[in-house]
Amino acid sequence: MNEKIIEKGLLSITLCLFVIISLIIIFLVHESIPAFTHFGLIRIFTDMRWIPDLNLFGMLPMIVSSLLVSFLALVFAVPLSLTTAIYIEELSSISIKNLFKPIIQTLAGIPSVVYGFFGLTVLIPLIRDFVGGDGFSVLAASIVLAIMILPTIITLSQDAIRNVPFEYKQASFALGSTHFQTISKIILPTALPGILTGIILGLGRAVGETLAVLMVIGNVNQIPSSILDSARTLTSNIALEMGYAMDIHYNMLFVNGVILFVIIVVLMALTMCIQHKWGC
Amino acid sequence: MKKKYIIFSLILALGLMVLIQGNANSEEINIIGSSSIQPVCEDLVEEYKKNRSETDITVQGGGSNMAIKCVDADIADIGMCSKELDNEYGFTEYELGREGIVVAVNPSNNISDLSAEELKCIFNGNITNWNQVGGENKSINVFVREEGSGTLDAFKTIVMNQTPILNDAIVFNSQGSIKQAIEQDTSSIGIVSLSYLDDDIKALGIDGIYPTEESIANGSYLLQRPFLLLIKDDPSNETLDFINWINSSDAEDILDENKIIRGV
Repeated sequence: MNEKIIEKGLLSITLCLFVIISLIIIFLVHESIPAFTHFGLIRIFTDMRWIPDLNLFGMLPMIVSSLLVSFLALVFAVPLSLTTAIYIEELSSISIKNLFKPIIQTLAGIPSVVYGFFGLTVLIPLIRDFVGGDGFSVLAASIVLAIMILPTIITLSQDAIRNVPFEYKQASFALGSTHFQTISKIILPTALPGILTGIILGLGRAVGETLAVLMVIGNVNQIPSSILDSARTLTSNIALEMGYAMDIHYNMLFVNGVILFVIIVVLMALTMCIQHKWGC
Repeated sequence: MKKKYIIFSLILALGLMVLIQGNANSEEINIIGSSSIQPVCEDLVEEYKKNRSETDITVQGGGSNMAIKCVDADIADIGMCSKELDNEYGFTEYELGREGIVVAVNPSNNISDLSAEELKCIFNGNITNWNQVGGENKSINVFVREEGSGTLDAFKTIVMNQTPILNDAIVFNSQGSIKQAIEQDTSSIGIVSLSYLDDDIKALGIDGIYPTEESIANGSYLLQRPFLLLIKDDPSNETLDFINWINSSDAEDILDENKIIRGV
């Protein structure tokens, strides 16, 4: 009897969660339908202009900027986090390992507005003085994002490296390979699926990050022609304009949300695909 | 195990009941509207509640258009509107005061005055270097608020005659971040409200008139906007009491603190 109550209780809570998620998706799509019919699906994805006053709602620049900023963040973050993960798992002593663990966890726990503020007060003057432009740029946003996704990629890569069976390493050493050869030829290829999962999750976080990006990217709605140009991402557009949006403009911001949602779903599917294929 | 569950659900149910009760019993005033007036209004409400804790007042942002819509649809008791209103709706307008909008530059900039025409050309992209208006040879970085913000809206109406602002103006989502950016960038120009003006940024005069409490109060400084409270025709007693209280000296202190300028 008791067991049953607990079981049913857990089931109902799980179902609640499912219902909540479904409701969010239904609401998102429902609110965005008027916008699709009003402006046309194709124009949303091809028009370059976003001028709510004139009823122009092209999202191409924002989609391009969102993806560009996130991939650039990966370019900065992946080498850093991979080397860190390899060092901590393979080369460092226990005491260094114990020192780094809380540092990385703290990095993950810092609120995004703090990163944004750091970018605004430290990074932007540096870029303005030493690289050029006015500082508010794709470069600034992707550096901030790179720092933010470091802990995700490091932690998942660490797990993947740690899960490589010890026998592989022993066998490799027994055959006379050096430590570096073992890492590059045995450990990394075996840990690759886990590392890829970490990278994709990091990418997902970068695409979805709002506030920190909003504070440093300048929010000019254009396709950036260099990394020193300002741009506007999908997320920062919603955050900027939701306070004032009415009618069709309001629905358009939901289209923004749907596009983000689709991007995240694709990334999630990709991770599942990887995990399924390599079985980990 | 079972006992724990029952106790837990009892506490939960009790908590819910208290929450629902709490809302149903008190007298409520809903204030919705411009995010520029919101902080002032929150200060006013906090002071007001010190003596009348039984009245429940919520203050929400959403923009001036939202205020008009919500008051018209009876969702809000009071709407906060930060732009001039052609009164086609038949609201009672109560003017809290007027707010000055400041065109500010970095303190190191040697420019201290611009004509309205020069200002317009800087913000529509026809003037791109400070040396075109008598400054150093540096390109101008223009900082604005996001589309729909009351500050930008007033600026567009008064200075730009509704012509578009240049495309590559950097957009910020708050007064604070614009101020921060102007402070750091020696070739910047941006718009903030008078309450954000301090020694870290420099206010420009427009056609020789500087933003001060006097020049805003007598209307000679062009860039200003009203802070209006919109009320429907038959307000509740609580709403009336709140509006009457705003005329008291307690409320005036708060308006002064927020640099809301009254009395012409």
